[in-house]
Amino acid sequence: MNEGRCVKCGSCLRACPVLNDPSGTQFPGPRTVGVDAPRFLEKGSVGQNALRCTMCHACEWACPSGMTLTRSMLQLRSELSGDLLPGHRRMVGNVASFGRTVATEFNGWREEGERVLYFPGCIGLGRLTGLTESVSSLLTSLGIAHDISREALCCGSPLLKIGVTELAEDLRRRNAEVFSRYDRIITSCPGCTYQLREVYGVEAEHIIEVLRGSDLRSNLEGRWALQVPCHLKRGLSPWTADDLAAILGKAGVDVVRMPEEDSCCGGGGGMLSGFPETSGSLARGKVEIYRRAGVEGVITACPFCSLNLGREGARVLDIGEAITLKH
Amino acid sequence: MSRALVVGNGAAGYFSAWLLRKRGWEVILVGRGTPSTALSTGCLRSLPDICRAEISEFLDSEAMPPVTGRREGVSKIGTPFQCWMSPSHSTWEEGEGPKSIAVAGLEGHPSLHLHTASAILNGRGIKAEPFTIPGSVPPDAPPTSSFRNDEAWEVLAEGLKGTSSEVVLIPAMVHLRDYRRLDRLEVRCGRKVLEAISPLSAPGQRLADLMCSRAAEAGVTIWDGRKVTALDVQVDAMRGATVAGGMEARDIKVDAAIVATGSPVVDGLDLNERGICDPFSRFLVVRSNDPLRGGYDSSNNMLLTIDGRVMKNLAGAGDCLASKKRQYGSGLTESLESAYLAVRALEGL
Repeated sequence: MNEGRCVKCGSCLRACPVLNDPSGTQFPGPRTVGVDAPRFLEKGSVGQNALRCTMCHACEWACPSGMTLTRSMLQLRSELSGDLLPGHRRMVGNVASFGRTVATEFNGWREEGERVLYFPGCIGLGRLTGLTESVSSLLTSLGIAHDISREALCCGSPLLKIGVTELAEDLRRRNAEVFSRYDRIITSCPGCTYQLREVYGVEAEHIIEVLRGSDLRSNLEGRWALQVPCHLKRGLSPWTADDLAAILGKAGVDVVRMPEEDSCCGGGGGMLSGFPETSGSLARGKVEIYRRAGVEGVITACPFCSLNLGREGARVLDIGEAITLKH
Repeated sequence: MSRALVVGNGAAGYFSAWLLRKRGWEVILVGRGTPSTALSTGCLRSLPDICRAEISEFLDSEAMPPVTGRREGVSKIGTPFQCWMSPSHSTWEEGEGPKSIAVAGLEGHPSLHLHTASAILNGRGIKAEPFTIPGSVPPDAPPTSSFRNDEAWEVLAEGLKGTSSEVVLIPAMVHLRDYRRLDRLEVRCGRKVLEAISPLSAPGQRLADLMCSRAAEAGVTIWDGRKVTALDVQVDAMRGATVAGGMEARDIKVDAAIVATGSPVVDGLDLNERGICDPFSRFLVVRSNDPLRGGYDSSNNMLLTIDGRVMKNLAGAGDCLASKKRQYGSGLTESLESAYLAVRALEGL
């Protein structure tokens, strides 16, 4: 860790989407949680309020000293004692009983022994099955024959965000065995992609990276804004995030760019299950910005963004739902 | 079209990228982290000696109209502040200051120390009345958290109508996209609205955001959140660079570059045993006992290689350059001027 580099400039506080939201001021902030808590015991007793963070990396991105604030906060989370929040307890219970954070409602399993695995993630299999079907047929139209395996479980990322490290490690072992049967792994959730690369050391590809260079088209009419996912832009690669706009533009979508497009929707870091009222408030803030811009809706590339913004009334499409292959 | 790389996302980087683009270059700007520009007061304290018209054009914006001249404002503790250019709601023309000010702040919040500022203003002969904005915001949370919706602004306007002063001083908090809310607040409360001059706060961030959007509008490709990790230099010519961002790194070819990496912080110049050094270990650095003056050595804004050759296509701009004349409070103006000189130096290519 590199907490000693903090110059107390407050840039992280200005960048934090939670601290800037009326419902988020109970969060002690990235400076207290990421810098002071690891160093000063009296500030270390921030308790469960330390979990009021979406892990969007905006503070780390803003830090002029290049501090690894997100890593510090994850470390703190793994050291938190006390009971889990009710929503987090439910999530852990789900993983312990059937291997995913939410109940699975997906029926389109493909277990044909292909060399490519499409890994939709828990939200794609439990909440947004339409998104998963769209991405799967897009892959098929691109000539990428793939499996969607029942045996691939939660990537473990949500568990690390709430400090449940042992169960996450158990999932990693079980998934690694499944992954070893494939040459290529494709995801549609930036959180899963990040986890697979960072923790598993597997070169998983996000769907945007697969679509790059393909001849695509879109039937969408009107002007559309973007919700650029946090773990795509500030985790995987800012170039991949740039490609989201580039691919849509090339496919003929009228994309409206705005500075707020890459600020967090509130859906990450275990907030949707732990502090749904704050997640909702952040999403409402974004929906209001999109409404004022007068766009048809929002295009994103993350199931958590789709779910959270959709719940607050936005018309949201995943990139897999917004485009098809040109015939 | 020739391609230029600008390294640094502060005033010198954005202004030089904007100037290069206007002169027909294809420009990629790479930078990460909050620049010193965003930690400033968001005002230019000193009058530029050169390129005043270009600076004015660069910073002119409907989103946040600037005012220039001999300007005066009030800091968040009530002390006087002078500058040459500021956003319209930050300052008044020198000599035209108000006789009475209502100081509207959040109790206990560092964005505006309402009791201290009122006392200091009264001591300066300006009649000040403290006005407590209702609500409680923790010190680390920005005051904007309480002003996200129109109703909150309406409540503030209603409250301010009850004050007897001609001007109200409020904490500096609005983002660039919301700057025009201050005009509406002025109309709604019937008093001139003035923001407290605050470093490390919204005004500096707004200035940096404005510069970024001006560069982007001009057609500069902005690679935010990315860092130049290596330079491809052959003898005295820059050929390319390696740029890293997230889990990815890319090599690019360039015909010229401007280094505008700022003062000795982690992503700018390196610090080694309390002295400044070049993170690329390629260029001459002037080590000075005065931290405001050390930095890259240069000849007509071109950097010098370690063996003393003048680089053909690599200029420096802003705080990373060694400076002989730098004065307290003149950093932003000097950064913009040196960006202009760096672009002029590259113009012959």
